[in-house]
Amino acid sequence: MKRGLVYSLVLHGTVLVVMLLGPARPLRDLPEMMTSVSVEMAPIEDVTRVVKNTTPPPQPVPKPVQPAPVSPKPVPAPEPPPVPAPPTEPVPIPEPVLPPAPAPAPPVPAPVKVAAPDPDAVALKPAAPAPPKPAQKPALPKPVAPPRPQTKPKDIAKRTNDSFSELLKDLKKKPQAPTNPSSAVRLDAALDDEAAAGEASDHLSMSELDALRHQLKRCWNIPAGLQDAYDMIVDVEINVAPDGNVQSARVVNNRPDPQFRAAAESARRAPLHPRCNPLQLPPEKYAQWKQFTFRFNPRDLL
Amino acid sequence: MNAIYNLFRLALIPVLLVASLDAKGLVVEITKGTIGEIPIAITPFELHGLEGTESAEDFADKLQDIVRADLSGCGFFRILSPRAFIQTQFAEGVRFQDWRAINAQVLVMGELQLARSNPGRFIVKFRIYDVFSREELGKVQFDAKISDWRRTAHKIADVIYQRVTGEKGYFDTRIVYVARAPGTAGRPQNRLAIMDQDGANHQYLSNGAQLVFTPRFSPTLHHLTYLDFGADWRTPRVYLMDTFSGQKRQLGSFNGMTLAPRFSPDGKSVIMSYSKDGASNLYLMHLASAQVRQLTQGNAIDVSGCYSPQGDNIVFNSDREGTQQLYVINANGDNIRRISLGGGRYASPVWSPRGDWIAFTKTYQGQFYIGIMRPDGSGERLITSSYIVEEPTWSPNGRVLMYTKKTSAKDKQRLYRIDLTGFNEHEVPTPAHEEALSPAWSPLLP
Repeated sequence: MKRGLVYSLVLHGTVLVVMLLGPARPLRDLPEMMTSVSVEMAPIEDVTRVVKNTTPPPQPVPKPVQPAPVSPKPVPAPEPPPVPAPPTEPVPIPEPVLPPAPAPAPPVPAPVKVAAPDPDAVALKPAAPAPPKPAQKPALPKPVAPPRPQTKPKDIAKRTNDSFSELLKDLKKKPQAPTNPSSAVRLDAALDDEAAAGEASDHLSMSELDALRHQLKRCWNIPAGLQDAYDMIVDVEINVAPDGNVQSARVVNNRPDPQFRAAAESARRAPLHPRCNPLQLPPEKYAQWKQFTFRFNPRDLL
Repeated sequence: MNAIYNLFRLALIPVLLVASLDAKGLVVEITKGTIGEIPIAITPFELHGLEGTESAEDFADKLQDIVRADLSGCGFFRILSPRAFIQTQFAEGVRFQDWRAINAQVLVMGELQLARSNPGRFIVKFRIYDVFSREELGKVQFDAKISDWRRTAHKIADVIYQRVTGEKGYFDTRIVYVARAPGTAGRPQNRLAIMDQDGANHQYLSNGAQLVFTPRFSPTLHHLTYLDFGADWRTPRVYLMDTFSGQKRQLGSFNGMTLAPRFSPDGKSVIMSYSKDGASNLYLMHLASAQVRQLTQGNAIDVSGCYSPQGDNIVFNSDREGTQQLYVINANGDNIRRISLGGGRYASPVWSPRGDWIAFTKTYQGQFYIGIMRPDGSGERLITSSYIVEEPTWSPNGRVLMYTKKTSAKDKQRLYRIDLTGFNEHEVPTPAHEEALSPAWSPLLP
């Protein structure tokens, strides 16, 4: 009897200590999601072994595509197709709806495929210019993301982008295995690596986060010209419903001075803005984004 | 039994550990946004007392028109048209979804009380709401004389501006400037004029017999200081005018020319340039004691001294190194350092009331510019240019610059204002037949 009691006390005590010490704290650091997703650049050979077959049926080609080229992201027109960095992008995303990531990918491959050699520069030109501009409006968060990570030499980027787009197309088809079993089977080998790298799929990927940032960018009305703007970092904690609608937004680091209060209120308005609801986030990772914090940092302005 | 029990407990530990590791911690940093206007809806004031009378409704409309004009002119707000409003009856409170549906982010609802029993006065109350979070941001009430209706409307706009942007407003302020008419016999007629910042309530303060320049407000608004060339047009002297009584007196009895006067932030001294034997130096004159102190020495031309808002530094322009450049000196006369670096000539520096910028006029390759730079000279930005743009003055919240501009040789020189980000330039209405020069912006009226 006594022994049991001792064991019980010890174990309960251990649990308490563990919880108090808060192992969760380290996770709060930003680096966690800033860590580059381990994107495996499939060697060209692998790629050519695979795919190169069909163009995804629905893909409204004009649609999304390159928001990338439009966005200031310098990187070249060619970039767009690649955007896909998304190999980790499992999200199914229905075509018609303008979902962020996947959407761009499919259409892209189509044009690209047309011209085999150095597809990017050439093929993209016709397809890219038109869609991008108008497409940009519908606000595809996606585009911004890809160019940034790929600041490597353009050439390499182009080539791997091309291979990425192929990959993406296939990945996309993967969930639709039933309808297209042959390609799925063919892809299995090449995609095994991707699956391994998919431990990142539990967390939001770089591109998903960039997509989210791009979406919020349109809703955050920055108080320009505010004195000491660099000082006005506002943390807003939000709760999101499974459909992506923000249910509540709360400023967690309020300060009494009126300038900060105004900056805090304008930051709080951003996730509640109709243009940012619903948030474009992958539904299957809901656990990751059902409650999180936006940090509004006006460091890039006057 | 015990063993199993304990094993169970042991198994729980890792479960609990994992659970706490999963605690929220995702922080997504947003560093880019848009700079756009905040859509604001201002509902027509609800009338109490004298409802239905035309005069009451007109009065309410007049007040609202001024509030709307102030807020839409500052560039931060987009006033939504009342025709778009969905909710028009407020008996059951505010239906926020109706306002969200028309994309309003801020809602202002007010009421106006007029009473026959209290003629000559009115009460206006209003509340400001944040539509997205459904929170009341503030409520204010003003009790004023009907004759002060314009100032009250400006004060309402100031309150809304401050609550939403965090910065003090600038709507209840006045502008003093020099109105120049062609005059007769080749002598232009310069008169001092004063008006509300939106151009209303315009009056002349001098009769044009003297040639006057560079009027400036004292921080307490009791006085104006300005330059007067006297009836003989020969010797410019600095004068002080009492804005209430209209009385004026000369400041100091210098033998030479005195120019470019400005008040110190405490209103007790005036800094000016005194020109003698071809050189011009900065002098500080204490008004009450008439004591004068020389701040700069040398043979250069040092003019246009302007205090920092804390009163610890003075910026001025000088040609001591050959070309006209901007310099800063400590208020006690030490540590003169040059802050302007670019090519061209710099003049008329004015220190922002916020203390974080200095505005100036720059001429470069035949073109005029108004620019701003940090007090240490960094971050120089040119925000507007024209055939002639000069003599900037800051609004009391340090956000807006007013200046005089002439777009071509044949044009008339007029007053304009612009936000310090370089956007939202508007002309300031002044009598059309005259030119308008040398504006000075008053502090917020109490």
